[in-house]
Amino acid sequence: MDGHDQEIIRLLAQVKGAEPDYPKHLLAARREQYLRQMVRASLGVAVGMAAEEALKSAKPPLASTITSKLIEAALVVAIVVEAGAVAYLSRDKLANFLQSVATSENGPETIASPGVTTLQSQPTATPSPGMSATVAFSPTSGIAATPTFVTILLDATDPASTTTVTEMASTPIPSGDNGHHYGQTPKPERTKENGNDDQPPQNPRPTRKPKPTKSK
Amino acid sequence: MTEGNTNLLKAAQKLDEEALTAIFDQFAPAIYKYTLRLCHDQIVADNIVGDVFAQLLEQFGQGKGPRTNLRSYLYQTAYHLVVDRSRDNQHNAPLEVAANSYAEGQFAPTQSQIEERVMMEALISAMNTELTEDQRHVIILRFLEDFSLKETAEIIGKEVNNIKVIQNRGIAKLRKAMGIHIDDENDDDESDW
Repeated sequence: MDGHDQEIIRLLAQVKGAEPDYPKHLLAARREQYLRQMVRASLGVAVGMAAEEALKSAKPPLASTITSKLIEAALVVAIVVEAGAVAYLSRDKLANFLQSVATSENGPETIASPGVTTLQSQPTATPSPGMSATVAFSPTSGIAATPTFVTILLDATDPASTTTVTEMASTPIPSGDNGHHYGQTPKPERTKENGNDDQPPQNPRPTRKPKPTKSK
Repeated sequence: MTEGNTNLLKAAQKLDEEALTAIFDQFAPAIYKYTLRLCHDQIVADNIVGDVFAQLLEQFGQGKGPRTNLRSYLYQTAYHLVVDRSRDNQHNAPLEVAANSYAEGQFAPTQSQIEERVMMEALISAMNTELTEDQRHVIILRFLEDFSLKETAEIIGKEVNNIKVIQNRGIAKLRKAMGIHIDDENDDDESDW
């Protein structure tokens, strides 16, 4: 570098020396913050190391994370299956409960007509541990009931059968007040729709005639 | 890197509190000055110092961090933080801090001190107006922070040869911008004869 460059470098060194120092109050505050962070970092590492040591010294039946997750998934599946089994076994009670909830609304009785089956569009409804279910009856009135907090398993009846669906009895009024008040609301009045009588049709639904076979 | 700093770094990697505190006391003021030159804001520079050392602790806590050159690592971290902030703020004020502080404490400056101050202000102005970002940064790291070419290249993320080129071009621009003032000073000296 020539003389002028050296002069530049000399001036730069002077600039360096003339610059302001770190303000003391800012430096002190920053230092305190750093010391706190340092303590947290040390504690975090110590806790992590202790946890690691504990895991190493323990004798878990499952050594790998994958195995533990598999067992966790299996437990969840088992719980779901058990809940479904309980719902299936208590389906009658659940149906009664559903009826009581349905009758507690202001509307016509949701009585399935003889020959008119429930859940015609759904031959079977598998139990589910969900919190809500929607059941659509298909009486002549076409009123749907929407129960909550219930799982339902209803067997579809054979459309060809002549058996009727019995009316579901409403659940008895609970003696204690649990706040739900199921079955306490008055039964809704059934409105009369155009062209429909109050009474269901007397004649049962005609059976299906078998299809004629083609003769060769 | 000196042996003392090497031992300090090794102890800091093990999260030794005394070593970590010593690192802060040793490098925080320098990091502040360096950041102040780049961002021209005391509060921002202070915040960046905090972020630099917070990142250092985090890296050490994860078993990472610098293995050899701690100083370069800290400057590199500070530089990246300044760049990130400048992208967000789009703020670029002229480098006026150094020139103003020079006058503090000067009760009765002499003629030479006044001339020196004029030269420094001209130099600072030239650095802000004549140089590119890279040239200014290289000049700061090489001549204000006394980093080597290799260390400067590591901090900026360029090759050493590239740093040489940038440095020489920056000096040439400053020489050209300061040429009038230096010639004036030389003329004054000659006139004394």
